[in-house]
Amino acid sequence: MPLPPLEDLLLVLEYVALPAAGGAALVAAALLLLGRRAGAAAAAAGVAFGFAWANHSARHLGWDAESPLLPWTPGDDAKPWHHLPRAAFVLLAVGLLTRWVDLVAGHYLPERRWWVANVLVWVPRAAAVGVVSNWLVSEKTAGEVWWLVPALAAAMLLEWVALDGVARAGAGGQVAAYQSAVFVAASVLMLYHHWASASHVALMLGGAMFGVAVVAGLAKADASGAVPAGVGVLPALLLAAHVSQDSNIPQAAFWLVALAPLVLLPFLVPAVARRDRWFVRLARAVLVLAPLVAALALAARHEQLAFE
Amino acid sequence: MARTLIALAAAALLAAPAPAADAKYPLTGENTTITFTGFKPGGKHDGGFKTVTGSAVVPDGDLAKLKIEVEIDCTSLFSDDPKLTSHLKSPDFFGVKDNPKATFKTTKVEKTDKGYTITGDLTLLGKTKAVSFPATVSATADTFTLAADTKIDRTQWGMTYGKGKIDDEVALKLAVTAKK
Repeated sequence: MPLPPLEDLLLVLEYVALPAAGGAALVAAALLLLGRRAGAAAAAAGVAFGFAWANHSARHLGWDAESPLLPWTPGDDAKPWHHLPRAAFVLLAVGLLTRWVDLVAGHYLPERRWWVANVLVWVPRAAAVGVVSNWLVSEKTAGEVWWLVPALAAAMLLEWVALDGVARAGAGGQVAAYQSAVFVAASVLMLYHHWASASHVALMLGGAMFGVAVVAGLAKADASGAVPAGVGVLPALLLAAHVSQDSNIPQAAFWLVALAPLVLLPFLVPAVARRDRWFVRLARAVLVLAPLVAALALAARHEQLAFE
Repeated sequence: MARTLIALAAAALLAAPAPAADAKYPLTGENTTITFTGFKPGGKHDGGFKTVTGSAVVPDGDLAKLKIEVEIDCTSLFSDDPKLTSHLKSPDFFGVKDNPKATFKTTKVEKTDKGYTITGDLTLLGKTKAVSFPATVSATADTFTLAADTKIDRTQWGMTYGKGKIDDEVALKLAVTAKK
């Protein structure tokens, strides 16, 4: 795959790397001040800050001098993807609130009532996913394909279960790194799909996740707080891309990237998670990267990049 | 005397010109060319639309009463670079999957020293804005011709991608040679 022109690469560094570094600095500062117990909240704040900075700085880099790449407040004629920032922030907030509920429930409930804590955590999360998935599919598309909204909600919830479960088992930095890789792959897929804005959005979130991954990995902190941001954006962005733009890329490529995080579900099984750590880490990384490579290979076979 | 008067009246009736019928000229991709040029620092790109349907009606032979209704199939968009064409069809620009049609409908035509000024409603990306442009127009018994060069601000229709890197103004060229 050829590299884009140097000028474009430098632009990407400016609107992705700097905000990612800013998000990472925020996470580092929070961990230093509040300790590792604040890891989840710090990760959520870091990814939100990194993405918000990148979205805002897009206006200075020529995408639209008067407004961010994605509007903070969708207007009346908003497209479904204009609701992505709002969806991500809602899920981040619900994720953190339900974490707090989980901590309180764990403190006060007897051990045999562990399932009550799970209900208190996952029912609100499922409800939040149900609400935001309606924002992210247009009425017209939802009317034409009745199962799209429920399928999107199911994908988002399952990805949240998979990513949150693995992150909270001590692999917070790695999960943020997996999400970063998935979003970078999504960004390249969008380039092949000839939708530049969607590529920028994916790259911005990939950069923000990378910043969180580096700090959480070094500090061995819990970065599960950042997971909902990726959950709220990934499947919806790829769905919007497939619905709103035609290209020769097979549908399978979009599915492979959108659902890549689900390969982590088997690692929630205690017997699997108890295997040798290096083996589990290697297996997880390979399983996450494999569908991404396959998706990009499919895209490269059917389309050409603008600068090729 | 009465016979003379009757003969004179009959002659007057026969000499009076019959009221002109509305002349309708169908507009298609074959007789109507709609092209555009987008500009960026250090360059430009040309493009257009291949599929157009509509009509130009000249009531009573009076071009000042000209009515044009045109529907443009945005999926027929082309440009000087196939990869750019794909990007132009994306939601960053024309979003042709969600907005497959653009329309133009005249609301006023005024005679000027150099030709005519045509005013109409251009609907693009689901938004309707009034546009006005000078044009050279003529209509004979069986041929209608129109030529116009104008510019529009794409951001007025919500096409804001690249604002600051790509010029907001897009040059539009229209050329019609339509036969009845």
